Parts: sequence; C-alpha cells; structure tokens
Amino acid sequence: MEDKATTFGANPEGLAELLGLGVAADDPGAEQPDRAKADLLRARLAGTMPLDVDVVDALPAILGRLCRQLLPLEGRPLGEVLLSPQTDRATIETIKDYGKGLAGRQDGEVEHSVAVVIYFAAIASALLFHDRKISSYSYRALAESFDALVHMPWMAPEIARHLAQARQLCRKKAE
Amino acid sequence: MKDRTEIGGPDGAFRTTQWTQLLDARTLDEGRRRDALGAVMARYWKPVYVYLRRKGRSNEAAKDLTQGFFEQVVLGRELVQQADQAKGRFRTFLMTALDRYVTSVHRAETARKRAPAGGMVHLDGVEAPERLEPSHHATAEEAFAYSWASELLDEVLEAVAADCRRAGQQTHWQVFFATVVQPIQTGEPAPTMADLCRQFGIRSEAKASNMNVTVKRRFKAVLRARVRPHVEADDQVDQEIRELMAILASKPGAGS
Repeated sequence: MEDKATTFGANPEGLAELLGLGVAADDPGAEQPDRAKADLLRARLAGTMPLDVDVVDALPAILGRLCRQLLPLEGRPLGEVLLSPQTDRATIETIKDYGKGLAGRQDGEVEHSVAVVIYFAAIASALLFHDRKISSYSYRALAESFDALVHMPWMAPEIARHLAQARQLCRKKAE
Repeated sequence: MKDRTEIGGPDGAFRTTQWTQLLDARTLDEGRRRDALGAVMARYWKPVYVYLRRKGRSNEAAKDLTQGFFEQVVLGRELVQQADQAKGRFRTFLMTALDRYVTSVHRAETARKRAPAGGMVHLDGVEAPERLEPSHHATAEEAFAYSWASELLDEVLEAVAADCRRAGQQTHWQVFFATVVQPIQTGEPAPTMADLCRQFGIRSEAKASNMNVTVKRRFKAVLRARVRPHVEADDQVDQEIRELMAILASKPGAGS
C-alpha cells in the first residue's frame, strides 16, 4: 500500500502538526478550529446545487423540500449562486432557510459556524442585489452580525467582502 | 478507585502500563525475560539509538550502548530510583536515564563491553543506518524526541489505516492520507478537494471534507490511547503531546 511510508525524515513541524490532532478538547478540529471552519466553508461554497446530497439526506423533510426547490440551479456552486446579482430573491430566501435549518441541527461548533455563514450570506445577498431585508433582525442587528463574521479569521475572502458590503448598507439604513 | 501503586518504589510512583510491563519483565524467568526485553527494545530502541548517534557514537557503538542501556538500566536495579524522579512520565524517564547512562559509560568504558549472563538480545531488523543519521543541527535531546514522536505517529497511522480498512472506509483513509499525511512526508502542497473527488470518485467536496474529519477524530482517539500508557494520569496526555510538539516546532529533525 503506497500510503504506508514512515514519518521519519519528515519536517519536525509536520510531526508537530500531526501530534496537534491529538490535543483537541472535543473535536479534532478544535485545536485548529479556524482551519477546520475555513476548510468546511470552502467545501460548502464549492458544493454544487442542489446542495450536498449527503447533507440533504440527513435533514428533515422540510429541508429536503427546500433543496428540491433549488433543482433548477443544478450544477452551480453554492458560492457562485450566493454572490451572483442574477440570483432571484426566491432562491436566496430558500438558501437562507436552508442555512438556518442546518444551523439549528448542527451540534459541532465547526459545522454550526459554517451554517450560520450561509444563512447571513443569503441575507446579505437579498440586501445587496434586491434591496430587500429577508430577515426579522433589525438593520442595526444585521450590521453587527455581518461585522462579527467579517472579522472571523477563517472567513472566505469573497464572502467577507460580500458581508462587509452588506454591513455598510445596513449601517446606512440604521441611521 | 483501586490503588495500583503496590508494585512501585519508595513513593509508589508506578501507575502506568509501561512501568507495570517493565517490572513484570524483571520478575519473569530468563527465557521470558529476554522475550520481554526484546519487546521493550523493539518499541523504544530508535529514540535511544538516535540520541546516542547524536552524541557522537558510531553506528556499532550506538547499537551496543542501546542494548546495554536496556539491559542495565531499563531492566536493571536503577529503574526504581530513576523512575521515581521522572514522576511517572516514561519518556522523561528514558531520556534522563539515558543521559546518566551515557555519562557513566563515558567514565567507565568497560561498561559497554559487559554482556548479560544469558547473552545479548540483538537489535534485529535495524533500519539502514543512513536513514537514522541524526541531523547536524539537532541536539541529542531533540533527536530523541523526534524519533520518539515519529515512532509513535507511525504506530498510530498504521492502527488508524487498519481501522479504516476494517470499517470499509478505505477511501476515507486515502483522503486523510492525501490531505494530511502525504504533504507532511513530502513537503508538497495537499491536493484540492476537487482533485480528490475526481481521483477517488467522491460525490462532493463537502463529503470529502466530512470523510477527512471522520478519520481525524479516529486519529485523535488512537493517538491519545497510545500516549496514555506513558504518563501517570489522563490529564497528563495533553501535556505530554504538547511537550513533544514544543520540542519539534521549528527544529530540524533527526532524519533531516
């Protein structure tokens, strides 16, 4: 089996990195949660529509219905759909509801954090591309939430820019 | 909780599995004692050998001293006294005892010519010397820690790979190996999740990411289980791993 080589001879920092997987408190990603969140967010954004089948299979029927509503976008990455001004409002709202449902079901910190990003990114899309607030949060509360997410070190750069623009808009509307 | 200190030295410091095994080996009949010694040496000889080489010993001298160290110190009467000072940390005990042994041998060269009554237990299956050449930049202690960590990680990786095979999760293992282990071994960047999905026929990058997390969790559990016998209590596992990480971080390795 080709994947049976020894670690002897590898860079010591690499060995330290492997050892680091063993010191996480509850989750192997906990020692490097930022990296785990960045990896998972990147994977979710790259997941093609109508969203990850394995995730969908694990969701309750209501979320499965949401995903079926996204079938017309089949093949397009979630990140592309979220950041496109051409995405219609109904689709954005469906993605928001999907993110909210996912966040409500995730026990792990990493998975929950990524689901929250999807949720707020969809709200940002509706604000920026359709000038509609599809959330019951106030503009001030949304600005604060966007601001908090923008500063997460694991945030994907394109999503951070997206949220920063939405934050700016919300701050103006909150005045 | 049952007090497991009945075997131990003056302060009853012996609570770890490794101590128990070593002391059991001391009480076995000669044949079984040699078998036990062989098992102990097979597990721990590399860090000792690398340390001795880094101290300037030739390949043959280092091998002789390694055998002598295990015969005379690890299974010798000094075990109790020196182990107590290590406060239950097996790696620390070996390191400290080895340091003292090297000093004593330097002072009395005939020590390494001494052969036990039953004959020497030879280091079979010794790695090609060039693979274990210590780095010119690493101290003997850093070389010891590097070899110790490498042996430990190799055991863990082998166990995790076997677990994945038994669970029918060979692809899980391959994703983990490609993204985590192989980049460390080769210094090359990890492949993208998209590449891995294409290579292994995985439906989505999110699934590949989840597969990676699954194996990482398994790796963590096995690593902690393998470290536990070398420390005195559960809450020392993190400390032991972090100490090794601190020694290894930003240091040239024993094999580099």
